[in-house]
Amino acid sequence: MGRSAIAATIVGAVVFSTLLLANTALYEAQNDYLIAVQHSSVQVEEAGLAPILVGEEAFSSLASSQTFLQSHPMDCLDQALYLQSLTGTEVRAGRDQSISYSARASWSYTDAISGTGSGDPLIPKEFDGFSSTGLDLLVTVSVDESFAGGLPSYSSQRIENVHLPVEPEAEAADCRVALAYARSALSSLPSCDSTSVMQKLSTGTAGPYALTSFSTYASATSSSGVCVVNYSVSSTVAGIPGVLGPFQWTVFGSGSEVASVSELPRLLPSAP
Amino acid sequence: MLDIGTAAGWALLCLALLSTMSPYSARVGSVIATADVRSGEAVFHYVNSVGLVFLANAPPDLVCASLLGHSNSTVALGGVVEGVRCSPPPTSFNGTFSLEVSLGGRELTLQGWAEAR
Repeated sequence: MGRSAIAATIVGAVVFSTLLLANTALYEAQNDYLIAVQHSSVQVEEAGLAPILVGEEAFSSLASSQTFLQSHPMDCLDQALYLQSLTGTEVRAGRDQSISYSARASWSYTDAISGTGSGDPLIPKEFDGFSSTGLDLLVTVSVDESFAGGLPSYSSQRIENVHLPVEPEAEAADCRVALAYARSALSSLPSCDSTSVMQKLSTGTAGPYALTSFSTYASATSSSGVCVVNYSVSSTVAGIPGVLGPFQWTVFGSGSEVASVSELPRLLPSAP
Repeated sequence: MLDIGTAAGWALLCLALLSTMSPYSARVGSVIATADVRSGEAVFHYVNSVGLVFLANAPPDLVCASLLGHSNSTVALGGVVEGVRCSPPPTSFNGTFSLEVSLGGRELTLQGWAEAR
């Protein structure tokens, strides 16, 4: 009886130990599988999130440029400085699920296609890629992602070309033609007054096409026997498609000219 | 008598370890992780399909309708557009994914809920 009890106890201990070892092996295998699945899941999510962060930055550069164009008219005599001011940087950081991310972007106006520049699949074709006539931006975005601050991590850098459908070169050229025509038209006046200026300008609108699409304003002032004419031209293009909806953009130019006056000096009435 | 007590104690310890180290919980975890990925892929696919200009400018109800249109029998899409919640999450799902998008001052939260396959 005593031996049987000892034997049963030993068998029981062996059976439970075997069960425990088998379960531990299975548990470890399932745990390794879970870690592998979670690891690959995070990698898939990080890889999917990166292009969206890049797209957000490309969109942001277009939105900022659109806002700038809408609120700042372009002086066609200072076009280069105006376009150079189309630049910006942005840092975006956050957390989606357990993925921490940061996206650092810089963008600026460019007049040449970048060697590594390409489009963005999240940006519609009308704003995507380099345009030979449009207002082009070069966007550089660096993305860093990590899972709960550790591995797996994901880093990438993209350089993209996007553009707004406005034509700064062509608009500036038209504006300069309009300015030249206004200067020419106002260089000689029958008299140094607003009537003469308006008369000259009204004949000027029948001139080159550029002047007809521009509004012209001018004033004449006589000072110390010299007739100084201040003039400006401006053109506002409305309904330009933008990433934040249609917008308008104004191009202007101004100058001043000493006009020659052809009227004879008015004789003062002689004293009786 | 002492042997039986020791064996019984060992058996109880083994049973306790067996119940805590259940392979089932790890299997459930991997099912959830896979469903999370499917939710994320559905959200990414949606953003790629509609584009960022649509998400930035479309009225909230139109965004919600498009999210609903991209849902299917195993993955539901929803979200919050400018504080407007599109639709409540489904009653039953295994995995979820949430994406915050900021576009020209508009904040969107796009969410996906996937059932296990």
